[in-house]
Amino acid sequence: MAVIEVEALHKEFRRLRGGRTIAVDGLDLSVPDGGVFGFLGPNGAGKTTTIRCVLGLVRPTAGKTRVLDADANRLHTVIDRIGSIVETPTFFPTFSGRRNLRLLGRIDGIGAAAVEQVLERVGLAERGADIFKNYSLGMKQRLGIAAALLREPELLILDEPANGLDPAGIKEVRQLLRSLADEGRTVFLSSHQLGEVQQICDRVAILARGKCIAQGEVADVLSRGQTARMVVKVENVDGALQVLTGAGFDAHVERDEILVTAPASDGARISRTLALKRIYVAELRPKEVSLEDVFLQLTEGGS
Amino acid sequence: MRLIGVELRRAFARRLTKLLIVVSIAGIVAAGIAVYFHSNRATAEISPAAPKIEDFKNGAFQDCVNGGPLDFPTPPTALPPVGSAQRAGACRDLVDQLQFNQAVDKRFHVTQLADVLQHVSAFAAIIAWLLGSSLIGAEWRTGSMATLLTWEPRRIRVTMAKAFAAVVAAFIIVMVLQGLLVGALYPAARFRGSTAGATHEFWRSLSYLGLRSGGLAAGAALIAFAVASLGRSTAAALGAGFGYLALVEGALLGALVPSSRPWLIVRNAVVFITDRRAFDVPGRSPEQAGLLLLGYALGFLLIAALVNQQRDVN
Repeated sequence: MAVIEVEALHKEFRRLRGGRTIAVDGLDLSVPDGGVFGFLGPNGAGKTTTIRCVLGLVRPTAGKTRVLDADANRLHTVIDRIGSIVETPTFFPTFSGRRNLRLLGRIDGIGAAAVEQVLERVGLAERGADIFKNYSLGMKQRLGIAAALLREPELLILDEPANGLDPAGIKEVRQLLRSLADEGRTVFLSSHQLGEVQQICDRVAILARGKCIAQGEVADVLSRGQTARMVVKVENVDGALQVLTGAGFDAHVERDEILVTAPASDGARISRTLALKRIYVAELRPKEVSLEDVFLQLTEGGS
Repeated sequence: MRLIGVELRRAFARRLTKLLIVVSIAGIVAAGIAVYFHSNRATAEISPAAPKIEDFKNGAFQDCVNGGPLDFPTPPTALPPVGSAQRAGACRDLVDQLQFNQAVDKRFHVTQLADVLQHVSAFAAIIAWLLGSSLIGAEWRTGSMATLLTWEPRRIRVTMAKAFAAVVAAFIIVMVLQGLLVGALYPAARFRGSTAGATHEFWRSLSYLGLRSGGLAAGAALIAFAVASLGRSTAAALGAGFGYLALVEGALLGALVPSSRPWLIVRNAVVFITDRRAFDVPGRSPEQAGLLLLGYALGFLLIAALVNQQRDVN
């Protein structure tokens, strides 16, 4: 079952002085139940607008959104099963973090004990009495995550939750999100920190110019992103390049390495070709494809 | 109900609310002390006022009939023309409503509390305007409205809960401040002035005036809330409020379109508080004026709620 379904979503923003900006352009998206779903895209790709549409903050120009089987008009029937952060979390600036959470909690009859629990969980227990406007960006993010967790939601929609966090904080958030997914919740994570996404996500969707250009399990997206390549290290780089291209390989030099467009299964053939010309490989390995590589290739290709 | 409770808690916990309350209380205490020491019981004993009051009344009546300068708290705007048959009757009614005792008697009379509350109601409305507009304006400015709407996406419900909180907060604050003001001024009348006229009927009338003043403040808070919702900023409500009341009502409609006067906010507010129906809106009772103002406020709120229902929250 999909917990978030987006169908042909289209959102235009009209400017006062004329003209329009298309933020989301016919987006289709299906987020399955459970696990961490990464929602990736460069700045201006339409990630936040999509999330705002899903949460009912922005009215789509066309298309439909459904969350936990409720369409936009029935969002209130499932909202208590959703925790969310949209961009930098905003609370009442002159109230303490704790007071902000207690006020939010009261709307659903959530007591002070639950507030203390989530503050503890995000590492803000000792700073809960501080005024929100005095929080650092990282602390504001933590408070936003705490607010999102307050309802014990089954679906978390988090827009750049690690924004402003230091490396230790990013690691904590990564572990927290993974543990939430392991508890059976679905985490929908919008982020541009691709290393983080690759480490914790089960599935991803990549957005560019308001359209989804890749979607699926992380391994699938990685495999479709780039052609397999092999890294070859030798002493005589120029000579080896000449031999390989002469033997019909698609190869080029990148820094001190030769990159050969070929699957790992061609490793023996590459090694033999070079050895026959008395060039011996110092290192021969498949080039790892990162989500960042795929992301850049797909989004740059898209643009 | 929980949402309303949360909004009420927030309204009263805001720094601006606390600041306005503290400043108002400081002003009330200062006024109480000043009036106490300014009031002088001895003046009553040396000035048998009746003949002198009669002289003042006659002088004021003649000035009014002849179209001379009038030293009245609220200059009449709807008196019949000088020389007309109705002029003398209207001037007699006008002069009879005025209090002349202060001209010869420097004591603070408990009956003056009605005048005080009438004048203070304008300040109360301004305070309420500020409270109502900033309650929602600050939320739009800081972006906390988006956070709230991710908890309760039914915008009409959110708008109504916040509006209700603004109205209740303004009403309670103004009622309490009026109570404190009466409490601060009463010792001046009791110990250094006069409590003559403090009948059961007077206190009932004063209480009703206080209620109307609280109601006016609540209405002001509601209109300000609605305007700030539409403009998504406190400044928009303050600017629009000043611009409309001072320029549109005061200068344009009030002066250039006399037929619009019975429907203007300020004139109906004056009738609602002072019951001077003859001057501003002929024939309209305070209750009718209050209902009209309530209608305006609810109209503004409805427009704001419907517009917010459709607009994006970024």
